Amino acid sequence: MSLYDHVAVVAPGLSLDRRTALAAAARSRGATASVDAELRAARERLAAVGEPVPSSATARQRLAEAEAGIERQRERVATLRGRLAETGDESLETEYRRAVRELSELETERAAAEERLERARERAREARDARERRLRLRDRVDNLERTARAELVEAVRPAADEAAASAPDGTAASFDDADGVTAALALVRVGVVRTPVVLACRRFADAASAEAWLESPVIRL
Amino acid sequence: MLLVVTYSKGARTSLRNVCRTHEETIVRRFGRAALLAETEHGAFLALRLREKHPDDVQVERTAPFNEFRDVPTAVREAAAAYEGREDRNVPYAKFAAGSDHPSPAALKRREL
Repeated sequence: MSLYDHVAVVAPGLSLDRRTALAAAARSRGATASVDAELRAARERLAAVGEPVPSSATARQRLAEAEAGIERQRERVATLRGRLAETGDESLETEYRRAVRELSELETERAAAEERLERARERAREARDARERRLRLRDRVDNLERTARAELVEAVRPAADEAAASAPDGTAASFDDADGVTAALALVRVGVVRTPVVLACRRFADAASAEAWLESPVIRL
Repeated sequence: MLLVVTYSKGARTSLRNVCRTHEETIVRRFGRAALLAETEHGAFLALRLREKHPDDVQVERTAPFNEFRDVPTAVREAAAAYEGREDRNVPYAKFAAGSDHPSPAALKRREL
């Protein structure tokens, strides 16, 4: 986010992310942080990695279904065997044999489902390695960004404090104590903003005095 | 127990929130992973996380480990003997060679 994005419209009730805006003001003045090169490299690496984890949900579901099917079929085979032994009915014999064959087919299916799931798990493991590297890189980028922000904020803070203290109708002694409008005006004065900022506050008598103090083009409402 | 591992900032934040809100179901938390109680509530929380971050949440089920039941005596004895060795610098492969202890290759080959 550029400084302009933070202070495009200066109006009462304005809410600012002050540290980020201060860092942006420092950047607009050409300030750099010691970790800039490292940060750029880490961001590039981050953009380059990351592949989706192939879901093994389908494989898991198939395996669960195959197992449930086997359970049911086993019970059926046992029942038929019992009835066969009890009655000696030959017509049951065919049914019994078919049930046994179906059970063995189901067991083959389960073995295939297990294998598919194992392959899916292996693919997922590789993809997760990539995701893990990505997360570490993400954390690294975040840390570097924090370091850079802290340095930039410290670089620009004296100027921002002075601007906040000298802002027209301002009552604050420092940037952090200033109300939103005063802080935004201080940022514009301290930073470099080329696009005219919209002023919807009654701090300046006219556009000319506003531009003189802010050292930036303004549109006054 | 249910092991939940997260692989993105968003998923890690969701896990942290879950851990904070449902202490009774969280057995242990480690950074971006957590062990959840093996209850329906544990499964419910794990599934919610996976629903929210399908690619960035891994759920596994852990089993209690009893070395006296799950591990052959030779392996337990090898571990104890190696940790009790006198020369701290000798690698396990060398330690096992010329003894009755299983080689690293054999250990890797055999499943529990």
